[in-house]
Amino acid sequence: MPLKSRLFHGDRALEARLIQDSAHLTLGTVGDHVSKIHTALLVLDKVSVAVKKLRTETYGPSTAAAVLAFKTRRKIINTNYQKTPDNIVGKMTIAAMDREMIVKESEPPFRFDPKSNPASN
Amino acid sequence: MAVKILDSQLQFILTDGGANPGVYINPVGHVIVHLTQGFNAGSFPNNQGDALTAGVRVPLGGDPGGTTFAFVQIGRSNFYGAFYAGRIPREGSIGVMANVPPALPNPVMVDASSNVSIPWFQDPSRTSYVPPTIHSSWGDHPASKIPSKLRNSFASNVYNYIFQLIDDRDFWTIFTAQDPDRTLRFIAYFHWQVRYGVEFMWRNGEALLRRSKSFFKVHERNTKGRPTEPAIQSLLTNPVGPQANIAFGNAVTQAFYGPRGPNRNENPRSFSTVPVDFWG
Repeated sequence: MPLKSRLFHGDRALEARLIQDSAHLTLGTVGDHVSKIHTALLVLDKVSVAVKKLRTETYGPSTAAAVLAFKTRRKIINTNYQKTPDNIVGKMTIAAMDREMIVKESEPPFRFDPKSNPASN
Repeated sequence: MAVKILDSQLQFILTDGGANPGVYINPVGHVIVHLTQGFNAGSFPNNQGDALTAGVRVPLGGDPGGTTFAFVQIGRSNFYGAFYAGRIPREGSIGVMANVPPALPNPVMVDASSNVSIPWFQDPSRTSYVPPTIHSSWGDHPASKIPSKLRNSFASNVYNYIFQLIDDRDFWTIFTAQDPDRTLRFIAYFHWQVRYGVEFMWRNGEALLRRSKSFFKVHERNTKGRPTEPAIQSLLTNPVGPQANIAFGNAVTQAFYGPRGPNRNENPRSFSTVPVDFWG
């Protein structure tokens, strides 16, 4: 089943995570697909990873910590072999991110807040 | 017959020595540029100290009768653009232009400091007549406020962060008499400009001022008669609304918060002008 969010749709490296356990994203992974995980973490959880890792599109310790926090908040645990979340992006995690990104992408980009109305003089 | 204005004895004092264009980045996601003395972030846009003030005295050749004296101000928005970028190129970019149609149909407008009837900038009650002299005063503190980050719908609604703001405006401030038949007599004026040109960088998720090329300048000081700038002649002849504050406030709201269009473009890739260390 392909990923449906605009962020992830058509990304072969990420879609492989849906069907192959061996394709999990783990520490040290590099590539544009890692950069998309960085973007998803910012959009969904407002978490920014280390600047160097952001620029080099690397799944570093700050990415792993953000992923762990993401999974902990949502209780993403593979009960077949674990009792607590881990810090890798596997099938369940990428599917959850994809579902939430679809919702975020359908939201209007601006929510007008009268209390913070821009003003000019 | 309209009262005679003895403009050869006009005294016109403009006080502008403390006027410096500033920028304030508030913690709840806005950038405020301001030309004030006594900037108050908590009460913005109200209760700000005037950045520049003027006082005028001119004797009359008789009783003013029904002639009203006060300041008229014409403002022109030369450029109002804000530019945003994602943390990395693939998170896109946004350009907002608020000084062009459809957000702002006409960049040259009659200006007013509050709900004052056109053509006046401030209520004529600021003017007094102590025979034989008319006394009047004026003050202004131009500013604007915009969001420091916007979501980019072409990049999965990820936030893009402001890296540059340019707000350039000219003003012609004219001490004016309006006779009972509505005829305007432009007695003396000064022409001034404020340009906010600021660049930002982001560290630990907060905007910091990277560089400012802002300036304030008085181009013409205490000049008698009607301003000669061609762009404002039709408004001087026939001053009509909308008033600048209302029109420009609406333009900023529409450009930044309205639907995408000519005033706000969102891009899936970054501008080439984004500094490499913009995000850190």
